[in-house]
Amino acid sequence: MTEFEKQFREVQELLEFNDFNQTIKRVIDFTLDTENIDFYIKTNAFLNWLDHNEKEDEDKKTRLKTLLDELHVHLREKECHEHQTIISVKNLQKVYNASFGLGPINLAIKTGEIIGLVGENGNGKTTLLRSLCGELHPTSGTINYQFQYDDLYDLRTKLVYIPQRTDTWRGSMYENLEFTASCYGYSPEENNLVVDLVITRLGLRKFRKHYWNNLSSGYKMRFELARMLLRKPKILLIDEPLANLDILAQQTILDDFRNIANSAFRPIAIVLSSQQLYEVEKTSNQVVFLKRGTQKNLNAENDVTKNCIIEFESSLNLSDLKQTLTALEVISLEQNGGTFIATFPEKIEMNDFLKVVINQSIPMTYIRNISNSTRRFFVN
Amino acid sequence: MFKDIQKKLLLKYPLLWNTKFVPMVAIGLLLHVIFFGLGYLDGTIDFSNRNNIDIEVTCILFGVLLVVIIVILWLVNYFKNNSLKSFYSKSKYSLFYEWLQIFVVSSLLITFYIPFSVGKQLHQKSYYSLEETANRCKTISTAAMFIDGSFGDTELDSIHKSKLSEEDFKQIQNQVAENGIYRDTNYHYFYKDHIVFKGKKYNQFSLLNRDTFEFTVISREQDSLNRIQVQNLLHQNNQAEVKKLMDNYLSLIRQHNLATNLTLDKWFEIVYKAPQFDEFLYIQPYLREHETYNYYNSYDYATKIGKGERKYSKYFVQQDVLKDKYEIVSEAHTDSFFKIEMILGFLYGAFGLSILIFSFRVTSGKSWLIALVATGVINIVYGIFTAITGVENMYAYLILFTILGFIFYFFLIYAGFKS
Repeated sequence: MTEFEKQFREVQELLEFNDFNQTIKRVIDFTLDTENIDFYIKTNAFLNWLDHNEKEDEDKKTRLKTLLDELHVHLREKECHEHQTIISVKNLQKVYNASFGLGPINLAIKTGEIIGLVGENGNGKTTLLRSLCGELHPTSGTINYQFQYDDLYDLRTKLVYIPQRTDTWRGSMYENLEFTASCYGYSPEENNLVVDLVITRLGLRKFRKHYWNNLSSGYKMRFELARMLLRKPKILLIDEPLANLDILAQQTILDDFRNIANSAFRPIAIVLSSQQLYEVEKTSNQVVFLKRGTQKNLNAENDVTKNCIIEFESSLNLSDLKQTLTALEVISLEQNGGTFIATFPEKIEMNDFLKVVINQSIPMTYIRNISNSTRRFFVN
Repeated sequence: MFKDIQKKLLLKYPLLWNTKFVPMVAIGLLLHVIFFGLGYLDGTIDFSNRNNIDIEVTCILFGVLLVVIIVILWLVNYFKNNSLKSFYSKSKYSLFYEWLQIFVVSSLLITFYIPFSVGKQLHQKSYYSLEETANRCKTISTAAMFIDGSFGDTELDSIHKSKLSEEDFKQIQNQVAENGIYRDTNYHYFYKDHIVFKGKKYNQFSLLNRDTFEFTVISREQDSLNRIQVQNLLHQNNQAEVKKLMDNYLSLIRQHNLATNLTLDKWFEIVYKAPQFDEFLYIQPYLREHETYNYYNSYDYATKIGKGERKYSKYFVQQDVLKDKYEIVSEAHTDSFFKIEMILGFLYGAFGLSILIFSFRVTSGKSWLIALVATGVINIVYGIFTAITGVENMYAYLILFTILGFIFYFFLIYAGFKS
């Protein structure tokens, strides 16, 4: 079964469960995959109909089903895109001055992958992103871009970098997006159709006539994403995309990233930095932890001892806890802002810990096994 | 309409949309049309000098202000999008086209004075055809001999100093020719107190030695011929022709509602004193002194009494106005519409403005400001250096070498990038 068939089944299931929002998003993705103006028109017609018939679920469902089937017939014939490495980074180093240096970094970025950059503040995440997008020249080492480009400027048109603090857009949002699409070679006939699709895909349909200053920062980020989608990038580099989003929006946007990156026909690579460790880890294929500029990969071979590390919150104090956990040969127990982090030898597992918790009736409000999370790198 | 055009451009030619080229060219052309109209209005000539229209300075000030406002509004809209800084894909020559568009718009905005001056000149020219203008100017020019024309120079003469007695010397002292060519110091140089026309002597202050006016439609050669023609009339005592000239002149005065207390007969009577023509009356050539801006005459020569003094009769004619107005028509006919220096100046201005805007577009405001300050500092340093060394053209050389240095540096970097 091809990647597309798999995705198509998923969407069918979504539709079965009447998850219209999600289905519409995926239908738009498929429509964009066709790169065919007839489908652009069809999907847009459906979306316009939807604007006035929000509540008619049955009708909505049949229409979506027909549309989905048509897309299936068309896309079935289309060749899927295989994932390949597009950027390889070898021993990248960037030294600002004596006080801070990034690297050496080794990284292979493939299309369809999401790479999460995590680490404390000031440890080189932004520097790495800016190096990848060509904004900073490496002090040593190489970044090898494995696709065609004419010159440095042309390269940068293909690498989209969205900084944490984005520039203000002037003029109407819609006009800006039309301008971008037009610059990137969409024909006059396609332009508005594609812009409408992308806007709807990112949940911005209501906001298209708005101005920058009237938007919340979450929506500003979405508009940046809409603009970047129109640029047909090879790779998307985003600095802290989750920073200004509420918890629901964070999950939605990560889901969107997942789907956009993983398109069967137009896969792109996404590198994002974030402080939301667990959310990022759930979505990413690779997580890179940066500590004072050096790279630590999860599951790296050089990490000899793999202790069991558990993060939890309890109302007991540190000394009481230490006492109760001695049975598990606790190596260390740290407290940081109401959260405890206990390190145990490799042989101990989460269940052993839980047994002790139950037996000793330790009051618990939160438990998480972080042995396989970059969270453990934050532990001293 | 512009919205539709802009929308189409946005979808098809994003650069043209971004620079707001079409609306700006339309505004520029409209500005030109308006200023052509204003110029045409300003070119109105009131020959009677009662309701003159002079709006040139007001128009220029107003135009400059308008252009500044238009440029600001344009830049505000233009700077809303910058595809280069946003790293949007661009064609190879895109930046050059962008500059070209800025240049065209800047040129249109800056050159609003050109249609103004063309409109003005066109209107001034339209009053009389070239032939008619030349005829009328000839009448005004030659009639000046009977009104208040200056007296022509007489021939230069010299006498060996040894031949001069004390008294002779005193007598001719007033006529000493001081300036000009090299002179032998043994000789004394002076202007003769008479002229000789066709073998007959006339006093230097005789009607025959009066000058005509110059008009640009009449060539200098023709001017001399015209003067000789009138001198001939006097010399031959051709009263009919002189009267005809005077009549022509008076009809011009009447046509333009100008003031005079002369009639043909009176005029002839008080001026035409054949055969020597030196006992005529002086006619005041104006109604009010300095009525027009270009007073036509150097009054110094208007009388034989002496420098700086005038002794006019009770007769007057508004010759100053007539001459002034016809001078305008005459110049409108002979001047070219476009003065190359002016156009060059405007183009330099447009080029400068376009480079300024373009450099701001493709660099950051910071580098732009640094460049501006650096240019200022370099100029001051070079200026001081030039003043200290006192070497001629030092400043120009320094600037030249600096520019060459930058060009060399540019190619160095460019070569580095290429490799």
